[in-house]
Amino acid sequence: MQSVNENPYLEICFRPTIATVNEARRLVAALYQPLLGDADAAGRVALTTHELLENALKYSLDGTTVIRVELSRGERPSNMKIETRNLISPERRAGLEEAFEEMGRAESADAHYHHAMQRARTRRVGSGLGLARIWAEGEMTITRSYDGDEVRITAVTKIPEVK
Amino acid sequence: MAPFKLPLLSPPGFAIVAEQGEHSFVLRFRGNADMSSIEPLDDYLRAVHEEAGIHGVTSVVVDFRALEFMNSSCFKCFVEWLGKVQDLPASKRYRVIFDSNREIHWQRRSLNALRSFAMDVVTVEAR
Repeated sequence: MQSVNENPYLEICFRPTIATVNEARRLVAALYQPLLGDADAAGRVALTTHELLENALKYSLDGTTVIRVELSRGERPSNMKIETRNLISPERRAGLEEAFEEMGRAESADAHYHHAMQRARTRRVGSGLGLARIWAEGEMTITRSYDGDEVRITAVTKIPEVK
Repeated sequence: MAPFKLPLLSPPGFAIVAEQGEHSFVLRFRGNADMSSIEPLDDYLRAVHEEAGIHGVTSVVVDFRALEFMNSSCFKCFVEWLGKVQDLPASKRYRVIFDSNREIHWQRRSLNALRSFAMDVVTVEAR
């Protein structure tokens, strides 16, 4: 069994608001920057936390979400994982599937981001940039899974050197 | 140059202070550009573009040094604005110069993305 010291994690179940999403981002940055010893990596984790929580705020059916942020330093390089779970509608699930299929077809994270920005110029609803930003700017690998109406979005990145 | 007319921003925790130079505008951002800032920011950047055309400015400096965070929806407002600048005929086009804070790490990544999106328009400076 791995110890908390080896895998320090933060898990919060709450009803995010605009203000608490900002506070959660600041909390994650403050907690993980000393553990990662890398301000840029902590910034990527904070950005991902913010974008995933805003998605949950917009799309969670009952307004609640669970976010788990976990550093696994049992192996080298270490893994940093940011995960949200919340209930979503079938329409949102279809939109999410479309977004993941597009990412799967993309040549690279940067190419996909550039394409998403071009499309965002004329897009009227939403930005369509959140997941693309996590992938490209956050340098995260993003996956999704479902359990009934619940979606779990997981973003993972490698942290080469952890203090 | 006649004084420019830009809207006031009122979302909590977010502000833009504008200054007018001889041939340029300077927009100083402060706080947190989140979901509550999207519409005001979108309106503001539309107004900046319109006023830039009226006053014939050659550059707009966007000072992000005191901007803590910007979400992807606010980022989209910049994408739209820069796209409009790119669409202008060369004689009317102005440069957009982002002044960034090296200590705020998302800025380097986001501004590099905007630069690669609109290379002909965007300059990024880091302090």
